Amino acid sequence: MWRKTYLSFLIGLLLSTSIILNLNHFLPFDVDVKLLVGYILGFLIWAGLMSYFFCFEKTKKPALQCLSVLTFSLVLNVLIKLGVVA
Amino acid sequence: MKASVIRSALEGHGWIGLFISIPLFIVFWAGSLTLFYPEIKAWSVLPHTEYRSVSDQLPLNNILDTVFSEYDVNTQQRMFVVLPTETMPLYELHLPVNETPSAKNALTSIYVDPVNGETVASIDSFHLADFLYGLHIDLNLPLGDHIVGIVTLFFTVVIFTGLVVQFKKLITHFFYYRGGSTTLRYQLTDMHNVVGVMSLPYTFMYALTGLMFNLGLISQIVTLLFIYDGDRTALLNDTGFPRVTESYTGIEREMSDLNTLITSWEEKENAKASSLRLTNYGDENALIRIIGQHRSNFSQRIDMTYRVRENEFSADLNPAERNAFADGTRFLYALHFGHFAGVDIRIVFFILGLGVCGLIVVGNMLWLTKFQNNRSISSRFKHSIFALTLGGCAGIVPATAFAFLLERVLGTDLNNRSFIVETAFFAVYAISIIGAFFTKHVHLAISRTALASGLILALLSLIEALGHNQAIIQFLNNGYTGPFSISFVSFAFACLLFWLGIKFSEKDEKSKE
Repeated sequence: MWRKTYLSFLIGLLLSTSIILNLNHFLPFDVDVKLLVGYILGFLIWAGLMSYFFCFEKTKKPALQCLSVLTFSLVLNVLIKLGVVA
Repeated sequence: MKASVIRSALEGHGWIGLFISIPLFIVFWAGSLTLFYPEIKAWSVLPHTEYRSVSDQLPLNNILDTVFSEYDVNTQQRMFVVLPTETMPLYELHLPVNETPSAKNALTSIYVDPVNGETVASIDSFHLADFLYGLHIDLNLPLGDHIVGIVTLFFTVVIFTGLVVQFKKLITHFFYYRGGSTTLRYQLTDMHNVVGVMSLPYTFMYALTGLMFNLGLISQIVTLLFIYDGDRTALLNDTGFPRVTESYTGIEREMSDLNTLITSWEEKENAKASSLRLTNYGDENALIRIIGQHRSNFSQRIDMTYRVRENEFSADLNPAERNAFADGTRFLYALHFGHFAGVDIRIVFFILGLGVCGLIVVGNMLWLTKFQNNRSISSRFKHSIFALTLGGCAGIVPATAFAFLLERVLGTDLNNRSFIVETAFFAVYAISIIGAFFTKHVHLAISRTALASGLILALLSLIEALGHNQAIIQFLNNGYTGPFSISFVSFAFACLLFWLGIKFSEKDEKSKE
């Protein structure tokens, strides 16, 4: 259970941050609204992902799923940062 | 939903809930009391002062002049003025005094009489409300805000996993309580579920807002580094919290009449001013920031800065458009502390807050009942959980009662008055927890704790009735209900605790038979 807690905490933090950074780029709102949405959603996604881990008996399956999404999301983060994705 | 998912979610729910239970209990207990922060503050200080008619008040400029003649105030720095309210008839001044013996950047905080501008008392001497507030936001620990933030994150996970477990039965079992017809474990489960589901919107709001306030730093760092490339000024401007500064010129300038300024601002903005921030007071570059609440718009804060040199609320300091981030976060703050409505909503929040405290206790009892005969968990661990639940939860009641008693009886001129109150709180709390480790009869322990707490509060009521009744009644007759309300509630709680103590004592007798 400790392992599940640590992993879910860390992966949840990284993935939620990455998703919010992407959302911040793509959402068609004013900057203040985007910041507020990111501020609220970031924590909800983090807690939601942790809860997702706790819905499985073993840690491996949710960890692999989340890491796959994280990889994709991180690539998108980098592409946005480099200006490849407008 | 698969049975294995529900089973895993339930296991996680219990595991996390158990580990965060005690700090979460303290946060909710102190938070419930903090809902009445202004009333507790008024209760602490007003009985030591004399009531004076509001009509005799001095202009604020004269009050500041009187204070400046008494204190060596560094006007180049920002000072804060909290205006008298319907709860507190005194000014609260937070002044940057030169050569303050305390920490750097610390402010000297005083209550000032609006009738003569004289210092009534040091705010730090009447610290109970702030102590409870501190207990709520950071457990009064170093790095406590981050600890509470992490606890709140796990609390959100507990809510989500609880929803997964209860999802199918959320509607059908909404008020499902089997009462005395079933085993203790099922009774506890029903109690936990009923209170948990009923308080769900409330707990969810607290989990979310608590996370935002206490772990907001993470969000700030990420946004600053990855979106703003380290440009803090741009971030603050976009979030609607621009840093307004003016350099001190050293050229003296007569200040605008603050009362007139406040009145005209209130009329123009249809708002009620609550506080001022004064920068470079008396200087050519003086700024007066007025903060207040819109009178008709729902929970809308109005925050504007007046440039004295230009005799106006300059456009460069006061953007015409409202900022969604600033408004949104301030609204959530108001929601968190129940500031958006009257005292009735705070009473509802208070009851719900205590309900969540009960939820936490029942959750731990449920875990103990479930794993009572489980040999894979050591008996020492189970006993520790039992003792921490009993002492950590029940013990906070006498600790709080004792802190209230000391706040009332200690002399106002006593050095380290606040320190004594806070130390006494933690001492009683620690004794309760240690005592719980040696307790064998739960009902008897709860009965004694309730009776002791009731006795402390009864003593408090007696002291108030004998020593402070005139002041409390005088303020009550003039519309300042805070001191009387807190005194009355203390007395009501004393009665409730005596009743509880007797009930648990009877239960203990029965279990021995």
